[in-house]
Amino acid sequence: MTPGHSRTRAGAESRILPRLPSWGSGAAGSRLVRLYVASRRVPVALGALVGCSLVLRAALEWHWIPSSGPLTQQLPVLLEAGTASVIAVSTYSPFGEPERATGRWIPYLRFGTAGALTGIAVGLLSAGAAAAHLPGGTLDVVRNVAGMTGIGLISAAVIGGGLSWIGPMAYLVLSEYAILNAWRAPWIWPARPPHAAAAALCAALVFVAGAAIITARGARQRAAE
Amino acid sequence: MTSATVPLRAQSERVSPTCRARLLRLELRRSTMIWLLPLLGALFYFDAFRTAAGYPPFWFVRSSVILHELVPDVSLFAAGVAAWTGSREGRCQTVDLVTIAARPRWATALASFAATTIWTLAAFLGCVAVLYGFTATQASWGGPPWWPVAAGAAVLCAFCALGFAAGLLLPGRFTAPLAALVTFLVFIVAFRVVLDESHPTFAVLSPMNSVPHGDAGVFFHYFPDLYIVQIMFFAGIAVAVLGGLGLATASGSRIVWRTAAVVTALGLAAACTGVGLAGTASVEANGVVIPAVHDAASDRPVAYTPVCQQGAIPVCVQPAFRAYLPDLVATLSPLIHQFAGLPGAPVRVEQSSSSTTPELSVALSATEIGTLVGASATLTGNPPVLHLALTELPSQPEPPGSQSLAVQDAYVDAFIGPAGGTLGDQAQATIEAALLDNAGSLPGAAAKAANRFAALAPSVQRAWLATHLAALRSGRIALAQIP
Repeated sequence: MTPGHSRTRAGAESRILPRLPSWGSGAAGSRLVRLYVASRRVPVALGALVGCSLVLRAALEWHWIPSSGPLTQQLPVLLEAGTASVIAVSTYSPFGEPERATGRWIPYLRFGTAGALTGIAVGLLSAGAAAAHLPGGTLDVVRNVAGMTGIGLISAAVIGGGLSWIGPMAYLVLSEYAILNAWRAPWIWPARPPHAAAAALCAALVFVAGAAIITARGARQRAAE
Repeated sequence: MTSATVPLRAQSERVSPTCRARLLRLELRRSTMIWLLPLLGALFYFDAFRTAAGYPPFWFVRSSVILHELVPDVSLFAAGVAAWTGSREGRCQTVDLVTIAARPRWATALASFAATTIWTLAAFLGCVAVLYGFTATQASWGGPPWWPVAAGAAVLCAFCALGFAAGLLLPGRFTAPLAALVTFLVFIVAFRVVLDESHPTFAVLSPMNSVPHGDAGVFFHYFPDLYIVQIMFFAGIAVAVLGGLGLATASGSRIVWRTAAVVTALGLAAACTGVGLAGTASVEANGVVIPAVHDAASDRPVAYTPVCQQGAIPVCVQPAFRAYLPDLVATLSPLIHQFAGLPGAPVRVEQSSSSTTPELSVALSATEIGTLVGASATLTGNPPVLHLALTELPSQPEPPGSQSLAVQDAYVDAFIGPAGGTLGDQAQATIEAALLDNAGSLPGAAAKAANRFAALAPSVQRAWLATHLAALRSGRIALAQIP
């Protein structure tokens, strides 16, 4: 029997399995990434991120965002929280313990996927706001998406990937209140102007913490999931 | 060979209420919403409760946060968790198992939905209880309004149903966050912007209507018309969506399908009626009037015995404003003494509703003062009585003796200025400013600072502005700092 053939049980016909690429080759790496991306439903997540970008474009095109006042930040922050929620939920793993026990590349894949999706989210939202006046500008988008994604990743590590959207959404409610009441605390970074260094630092720290914890531990596996 | 006969349950035999209750109890115990209750409590404190605590202690004004703040916050999570619950069978790939079980899939789905909704309503009512309990310790008149609570519950049921349907029909890990996102989008875009601009009359259906003026619901009953229509609309949506779920999951049972069709039709009828009635709405001083559900009895003013404090002349307010009376008397006393004995001077000050007193166009915005702010007045009758309307109030009365620009300005303007609440001429404005200055009001100090600054050379003014503009815009310059 050749290595590409296996006999499942006595008397059954042999089933031809595709030849596995040898570990270390580029094909194996790309296959691993492809399977990981598929298991995390990254294509669907990308579709959701594109949807958020299109909503932002529509909001700017049809003037759903007020031109002045505290409500100018309301819709952009909502969409930023939405993208962060989608990224956080994409950390949910359907495999659980077997994957943790056997996949030594898993931490790199977790980090790469979270980082890439965050970058794509920032790029898509910025593209959605291209050639239009987005309150706060691209700097605001970078800071808010990164910070809220950090919250989402921490939520995924604490309460599980499936419900990790709760973290960014709770922060959204808090941010909306802070924006309306002109809070100046740096840990509510959406309420601060884009060039506020302390707010940017807080957002960056939260993102780094979220990325580190999700890289090291992954999303929590709950029995209910 | 022998065989034992196993008695089968007759088709007509119904599932006992105990079994239904057991299914619901199981769902209640395993609902994800339980774990969100502390989070909802914390968000309620930060958002709705703190906002309400900033309003004066009047029942109706404080109850406005229920629909304006609390319901959107809770709806966001309710829709997301309902979607998560609804997608459970799809995510766990047990749809086939549930579909061929003894109970119709619609019944088990309704139990899951009911559990999520019951916990959501429990959280909502708990927050309302805290809000109303806190208000009861401060309010001196009136009672809690229940129409906003009923409307809020209907809104929550509707978003739970929509989220649950989204989860059931489109199961997936992204359904829950997208349901939460879309819920908030509906609140802040669909209702506030799109409908408000294209069909303003339908936009009244939005739970997030603007905060009512300071004395709303005090002098006149606030009309329940809009709440009735909102309940009709949102409850109709909830019923229609749940009926639609029955149609989607009927799986061959004709009785279930017919029942679901009837429920859907009833829900759609209620929702469409709500939309139709909202189209006839007209916004008036004491709320939104919808003729088909309007009760003419609610047009009558609320009967009350005014609370008075005797000074140089009596100053009387509605009992709900009892706590503000000493501050009001202290504010008006310098002017009352100044005008005493002059022809046409008021012999009594009575508070009136802001919806019946014409707004004075010279009314100033003096939120920096931190005490009674936002007022207008008219002088009528013989002997003259000054009718004073307080449109904006601080959350708590300030210590007696603190000055109020708006109240004093309204008083002086009603006495010196032209009748009808129009702008006075320059002579009237000058005398008013001088009288207010005598009374120790802020305009005197502000006017002196303005005169000082105006006397500077333009180049000096420009240089000062270049240095202090940022601080001035952010409100960090005191009057004494102006050169």
